[in-house]
Amino acid sequence: MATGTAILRVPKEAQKGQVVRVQMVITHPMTPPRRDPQTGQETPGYFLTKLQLFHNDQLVSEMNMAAGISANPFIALPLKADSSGVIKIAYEDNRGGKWERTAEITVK
Amino acid sequence: MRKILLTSAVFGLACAGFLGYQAVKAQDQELSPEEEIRLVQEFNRMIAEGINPGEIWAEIGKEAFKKYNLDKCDFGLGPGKVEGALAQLPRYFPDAKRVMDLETRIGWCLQQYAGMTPEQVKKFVQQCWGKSQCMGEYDAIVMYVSMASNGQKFNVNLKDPQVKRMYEIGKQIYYARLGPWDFNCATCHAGQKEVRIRATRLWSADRPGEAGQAVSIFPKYLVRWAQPMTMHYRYSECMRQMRWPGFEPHSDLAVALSTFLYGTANGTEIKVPGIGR
Repeated sequence: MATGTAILRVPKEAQKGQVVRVQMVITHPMTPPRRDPQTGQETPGYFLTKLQLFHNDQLVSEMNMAAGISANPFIALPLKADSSGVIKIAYEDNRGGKWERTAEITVK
Repeated sequence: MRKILLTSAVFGLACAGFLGYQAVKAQDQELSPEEEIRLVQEFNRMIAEGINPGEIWAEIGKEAFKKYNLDKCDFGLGPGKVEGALAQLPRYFPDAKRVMDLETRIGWCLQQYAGMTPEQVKKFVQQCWGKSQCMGEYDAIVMYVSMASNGQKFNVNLKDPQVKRMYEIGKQIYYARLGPWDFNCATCHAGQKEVRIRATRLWSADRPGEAGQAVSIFPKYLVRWAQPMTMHYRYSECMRQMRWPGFEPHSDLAVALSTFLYGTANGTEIKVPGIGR
């Protein structure tokens, strides 16, 4: 899979008021910026910088990331389910890549 | 890399809202080995509940499986049937006239149905060896076929004389001292005393059930390489560390070792992919 695709997993059904875990794995190399000690050659970093979680187009949480996070990061965010609808994650990296991923949840 | 791993552990813990206090505390001061092992185990436990990054490879493997005409490949249950294939391998295949484990069978099928020469297959198998963050199609195919058997139990037929013969050979290889440093597999993976390499606790053939736990999670995702490790890559790495002569993937040596390990693991439930540091 290409860089930037993700597996997003949410429980299909939830009780009203229940706190569910929104789990995701984002495919990304997350290389830190590095200077080779022998040749002096500098490699620029390539990593995710921002992740936003939306519930029905309303911003729930926002997360800032940097080069210290492992490649293909697994992230789990808590979300209080109040109404049925669409859960969306939007994330971007330091080279201008922007991606989105959606999943649906039904609240009883 | 330890720092990155700990950061991820801290990160995961903080996000899930568990043990937030210990996580912050751990970041500030130098850790004792016991504390570090506990944090790593906590990290492994938490990621086992969530999504394993190895599942990315299963999705690539589903496409690659069709691309290389492997739906004609017979894993012992009929052409193209992958559900439960890992549980009953290694076994004797009359069409190839030898005992084969999963990866050897995939290599044989690549020669038969994808038109590859043995050299091309070897190159295909080793495309991600010694690299990191590599999305190889071979790893992906192995991951896809293995994940189809999740939840089943190992059931290698050791009553078959051919398989039994390979099992005995594998047992001899396991306990054979070879190479300039006089190592065998049992140097690390045997005995009642607990052996560690850094914070990783090694499994032992003498403690009941541990061989099963070790082989039932292969191929497993390694956080330090950001890519999965297949069984033959694991043999190759172990033999390199033991200073044995060069390892040939899909050789009879590997099949014999596989037969011994999977035969010992009979009755263990398959949980693919596993996760390691």
